[in-house]
Amino acid sequence: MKRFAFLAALVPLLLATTACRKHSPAEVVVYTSVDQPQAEPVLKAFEARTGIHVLPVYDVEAVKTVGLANRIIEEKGRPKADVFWNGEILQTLRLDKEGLLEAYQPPTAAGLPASYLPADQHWTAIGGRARILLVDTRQVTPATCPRSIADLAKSPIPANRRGMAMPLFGTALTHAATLYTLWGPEKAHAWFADLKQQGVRMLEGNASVREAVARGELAFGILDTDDAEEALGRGDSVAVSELDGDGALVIPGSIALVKGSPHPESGRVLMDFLASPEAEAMLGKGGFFQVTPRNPGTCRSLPSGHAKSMDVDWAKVLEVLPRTSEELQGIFLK
Amino acid sequence: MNFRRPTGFVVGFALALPALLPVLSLVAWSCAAGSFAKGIPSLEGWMLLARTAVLALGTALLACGLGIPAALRLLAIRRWRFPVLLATLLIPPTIHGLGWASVAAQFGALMRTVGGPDLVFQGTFAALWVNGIAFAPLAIGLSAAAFLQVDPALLEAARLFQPAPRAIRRILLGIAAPYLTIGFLLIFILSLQDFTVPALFSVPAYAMGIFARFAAERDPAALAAQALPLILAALPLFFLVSRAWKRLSGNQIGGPVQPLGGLGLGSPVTKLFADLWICLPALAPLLLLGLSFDITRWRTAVERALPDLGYSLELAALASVVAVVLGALLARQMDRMKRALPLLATLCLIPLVLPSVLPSIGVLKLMQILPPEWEDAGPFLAALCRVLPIAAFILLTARRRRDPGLLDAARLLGRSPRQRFLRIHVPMLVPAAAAAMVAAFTFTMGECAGMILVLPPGRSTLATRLFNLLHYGAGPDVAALSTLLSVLSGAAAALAVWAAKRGTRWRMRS
Amino acid sequence: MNPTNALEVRELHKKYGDVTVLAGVDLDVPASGSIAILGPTGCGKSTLLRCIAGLEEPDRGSIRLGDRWLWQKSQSLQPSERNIAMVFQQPSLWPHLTVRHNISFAVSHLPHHEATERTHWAMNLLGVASLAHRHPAELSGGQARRVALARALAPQTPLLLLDEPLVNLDPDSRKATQEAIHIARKAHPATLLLVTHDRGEAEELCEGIWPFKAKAALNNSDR
Repeated sequence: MKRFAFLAALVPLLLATTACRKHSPAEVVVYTSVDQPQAEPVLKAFEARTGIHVLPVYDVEAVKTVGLANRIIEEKGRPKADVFWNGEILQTLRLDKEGLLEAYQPPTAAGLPASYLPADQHWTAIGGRARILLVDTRQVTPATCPRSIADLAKSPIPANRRGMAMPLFGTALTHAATLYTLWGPEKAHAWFADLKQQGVRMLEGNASVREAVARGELAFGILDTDDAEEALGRGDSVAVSELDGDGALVIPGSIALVKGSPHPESGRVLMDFLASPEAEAMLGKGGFFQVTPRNPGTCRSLPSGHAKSMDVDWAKVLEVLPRTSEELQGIFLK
Repeated sequence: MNFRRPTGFVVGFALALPALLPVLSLVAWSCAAGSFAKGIPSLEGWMLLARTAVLALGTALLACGLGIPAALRLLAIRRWRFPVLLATLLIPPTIHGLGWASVAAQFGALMRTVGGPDLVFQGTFAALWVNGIAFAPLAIGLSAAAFLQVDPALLEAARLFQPAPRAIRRILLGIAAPYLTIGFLLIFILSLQDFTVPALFSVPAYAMGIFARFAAERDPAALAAQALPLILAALPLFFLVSRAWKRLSGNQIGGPVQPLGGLGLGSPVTKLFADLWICLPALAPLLLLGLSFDITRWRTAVERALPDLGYSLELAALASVVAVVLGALLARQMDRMKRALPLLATLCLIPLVLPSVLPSIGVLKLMQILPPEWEDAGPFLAALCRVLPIAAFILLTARRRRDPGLLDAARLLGRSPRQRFLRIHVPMLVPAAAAAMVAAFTFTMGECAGMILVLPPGRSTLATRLFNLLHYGAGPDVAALSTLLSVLSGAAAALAVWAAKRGTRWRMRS
Repeated sequence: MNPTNALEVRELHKKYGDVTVLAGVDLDVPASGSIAILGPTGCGKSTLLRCIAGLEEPDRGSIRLGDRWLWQKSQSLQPSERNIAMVFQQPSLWPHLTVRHNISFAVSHLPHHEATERTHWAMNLLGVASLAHRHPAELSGGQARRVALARALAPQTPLLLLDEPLVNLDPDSRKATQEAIHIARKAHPATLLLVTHDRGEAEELCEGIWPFKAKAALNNSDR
């Protein structure tokens, strides 16, 4: 029996070695789905500027940006996060719909487009990425170059050389839900079913689409501008196709203060920094955002022709999201 | 300390509680909210599950098909290469996938320039190949651990009568079958819940639907209902493991752990073939990592990852120590159980079979009850719930194959229960405990998706950092962290081999 | 001498690291004869047996069975190619196979009907047919020895090596096993080489006794 008592005592002892951690008096907890290599320098700059210690939790590609939003929902009884810094917008709207966000609009957000600043001040959009077409310049000629997202289903290039990320997660799902909103569910469903029937390749994620285009496995594919930036920066034989028609879908990033957070004051200071033109410029320079409203400049992955963006009602997109996911699972997971 | 039969299950259940609590928490939460009916798969869902199970079965067959001859070869050469070659154990399957896709693309481009057919590396074959290769190091490690348990005299006796290949097939594999079956089951389960590699090669996988639901809506009951069939898919294989346990019971096959030297694998061609098998899992990652070698960026990446490395090591070490200690007690209790064993073992299987985000949601719910100061316990509990069953299963297998004569002798001659426990029981289980510890350590080090939900603010693990970097392709940063993970798994394997040898010596001295 | 089952060992050397175990051993066992090698525990007599069986590689010397070289510098046969059976100090029965399968494995290279016949012959000869479906864990020490002996006899090899086959047996089991060996030799007169430290056992089972000198040559003159 003594043996068991000894072992039983061992477990809490070992636990205690990790469980006891000192927290500094001025700190802020941020849950972010912005890629760690991009977010880290921004947060370090914030720490250097304010002296407030940042405790970040990063999301990863494997849970497709929803992990942290789900975590905030589960933690609503005892919130741990002060700020939700999202690389996109839908999950922020989802948290808002659940009533988990505190109204606060950073004064530094001045100068952002009106659509970035909701009237209830529950969130603030910052910067953005766009959904674009990346083409392999070795395979695509001016005659076969796609000019619209719709060309994914209609192109002289064989179907198995066209692709996009599986539209069940991340920005690909957001894009699909947007098409459901803009085209109507029936047309969008038929379009995706057509992609499946033709054998257009659905890859694991946007990064996989980029690599497949860069390797020449795909002639073109739909992805985000930050993914395209990576390939262009490496000097791969790729180019961004000029889109006509509706233009590109711009998915803004967003920040929000979590309701009942442990450090609301520090959270507001962090929000002020993240909404500032300085942070926007850092994220633009780092390659995370290509849409930077207050730092206009030339961006390789977002030529001037893409300035036109789709007119999207994000609330409607959020509403149609579960249906989109369910229908697309029915198409692609069989 | 003898438990009467009626309380045996209760005690076993209590010991398994760290593994079961997150699942129970998930179930309680699911019952309170949401609709199970919504998550029950349609006919198409069941068909997809069947196809995923076939893919997982193929993966396990390929990995073990690679792993068993490679393990035989490794044990025959008895050198330091053994732990070093296991270093690919922690490299995420995604990196294998990217590596093979890159190799295939180069080959395809070459074929196009010489006017050959247009080859595209995708589909079921590509997913099967990459997953099989990615899990091969695990199969090699588990097979080697299994073969180390076999008394070499038994193999020698067989080699007198039949050529080495037949002796290996009928005798060595036959005796090691229970361990090999556990390895096979583990790889099958891991493959069943992984969708990253199938997705990389455009193959739908059942687990993808669970993540899609997780991404699009928050209906815990539907999520749980959708995950339930994964348990059903793993049950037939688990039945095989249970049978293997039964067969082991009372068999006197204990012997000192020692290398199986002079196996006589056959001709130099066979040996070369086995060597190639050993190197295959390292081929694509090495190529990918070698192409992106940049010493400055490697150093920066490792420096940045040092805090994560420290935390990952702390977490993995803690989880593996506790898993082995608790696993030993749980295995002891399971060993005494008869009819209730399959039920308890099946319950323990659940956190392993479910995609890791689901037990993590359960942990997250539990953390709401614990005091805020205990926030660091979240990742520990999330890791423990998955590694405790692994440790318990490995240790149960080891217990079942101990020579009962030795235990009886210990009971007659041992001065006190404490002395008996420390000098007889513990040393006899040291090799299995070392294997369990490596398995638990590598599992925890590699865990990513589930960890995101429970990591305390300000903490991140090496695996989460690596997956974050993967978004930017397999560049120098990914290469540096993959190499770091490889060094760690190689070191863990080396430590396990050392511990097993030390344990054996200790045992023999005792 | 060259009848098909005469054993000839010449100048056999074996070292483990710096320790010399066999230093130029010479040994002749006539065809169908039986010799017991007598010596204390740890003197190297088991190593000699293992070298003959092919389980250890000698450093130099030669081993010949009839007109076949089992081992010499330029050629070495695998254990299964030597056509030798051996009974170990421990029964070394395969725990996952039944008694019948333990025995039939030894003849599984033969055509099916012949293998079945030999298995039954060996089981009946040693009186273990009633144990055919048991696993080794369900056998007593004496039964396990008899099964090990039946397994060694089933292939009807020209040379049978016995490594302390009666060690650790109670008097009844010991007597039964001795009888079994006699019956077996009568049924199949193979050349027999026995290793033991027990003079009584050696006298009971073999026609000749050669005392084994530790780390020294074993010659006919020692007889």
